[in-house]
Amino acid sequence: MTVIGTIEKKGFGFGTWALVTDDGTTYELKDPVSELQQEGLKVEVKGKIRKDIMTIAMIGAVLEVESYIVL
Amino acid sequence: MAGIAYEASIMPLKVLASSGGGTVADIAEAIKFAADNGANVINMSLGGGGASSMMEEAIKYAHNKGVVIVAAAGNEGRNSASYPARYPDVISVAATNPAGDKASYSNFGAGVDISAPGGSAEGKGDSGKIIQNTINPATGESVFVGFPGTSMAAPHVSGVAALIRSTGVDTPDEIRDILLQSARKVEEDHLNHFGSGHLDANAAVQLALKGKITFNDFFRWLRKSGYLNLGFWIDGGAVALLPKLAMVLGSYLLAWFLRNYLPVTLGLNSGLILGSSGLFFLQGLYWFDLPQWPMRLFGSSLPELGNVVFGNANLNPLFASALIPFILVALLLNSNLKWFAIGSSIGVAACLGVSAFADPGIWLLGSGAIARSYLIVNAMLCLGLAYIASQKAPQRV
Repeated sequence: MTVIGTIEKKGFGFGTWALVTDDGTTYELKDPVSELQQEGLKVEVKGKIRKDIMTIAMIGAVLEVESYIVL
Repeated sequence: MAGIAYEASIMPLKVLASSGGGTVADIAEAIKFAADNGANVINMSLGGGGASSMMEEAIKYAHNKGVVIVAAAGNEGRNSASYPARYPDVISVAATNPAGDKASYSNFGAGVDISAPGGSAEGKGDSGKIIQNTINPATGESVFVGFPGTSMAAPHVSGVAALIRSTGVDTPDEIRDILLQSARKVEEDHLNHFGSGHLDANAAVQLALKGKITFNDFFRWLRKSGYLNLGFWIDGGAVALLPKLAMVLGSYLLAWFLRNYLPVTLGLNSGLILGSSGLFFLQGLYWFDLPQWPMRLFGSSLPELGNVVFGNANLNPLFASALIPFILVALLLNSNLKWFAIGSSIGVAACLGVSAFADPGIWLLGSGAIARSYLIVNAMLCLGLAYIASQKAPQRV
């Protein structure tokens, strides 16, 4: 699946990287590379939802990034 | 800094990576491991993903082994709890902010069972968050930090579950019922932000202890009543110890019964002591050159006042009857001392009841069936009197 949104750091635990779409849907990024760890970055991410993963942040579906384009 | 159930032992099982995520397979395995290794409460400050039969099976397995399972409802701010909180055997916890309102991030609605403090990130600094001692994954160091989240709310409930467990309630369903029943109800909660309400540790433990005679409770009562001191054990030998002990036990059981089933307050205990046994260890105290009768006076219970003070072994029928409790109740019913009068009445009932079986010697009535019946009838009268008086005195002090 492809998601377009903005990178945000959510304050749960020591901080969790999220991808928030324009309609407000929040995805928790699974182990994002350092380039994606920038607040306010607008990106298009191709990846898959990991339904088999639970997290301490619990902010939304876990998105495992396969590739991305910085917009 | 102390947590809620700070004497509970922690069994830390690592199921998430330093990034904060872990697989359902690992989590399910850890649940089974905990259940097999003696865990009483499992806290899961984690969630997400979809329904999983592996997870559901592990939770059922632990629940059937008597483990209480608590999980965070989730931080998506949406209407329904996340997995694993939404499984039926799991207590699902929503988060409140420092004002007691729903924290903005907390999930709510379907599947939320109860709410507990989760803190709020909107507060300044750490003041609105839940302070904890944890490990900083970036440095591996032990740190004290404030975090918000339903992940912080869930362990409050787990801690109280441990407190309830420590009172001897040991099935997960009973512990769940006590947690939910004792929660402070929130009026106007149409969207189920709070489940049964705000977690209330004190009320939960009180409810768990209600109807239970425990060793701790008995000793707390003994200490409060002044029976736990050296004089009691040493000088107690000078007077008839066994009947006295029976009177103490009798009045404890009555006090326990009253505390659980009637509104009870201060004054009751001192009345119970005066009525049942007095500070009887004083009776065995002799002080050189001092008259001993004041010791006998303070060492006497109400029914014994008519004889012990005068050094006589047989009870005086006027004192060993419902007469004094009746006068006390009549005089004190409308005053602050009414519970003292009620306590005295129950204490006298205990004393007369024990005397009827242990040593029914009464002046003028002998020590046979007549004396025995006289004591039993008066004991019943005292109990009835205490009951009626307690119904007429509903206020607590």
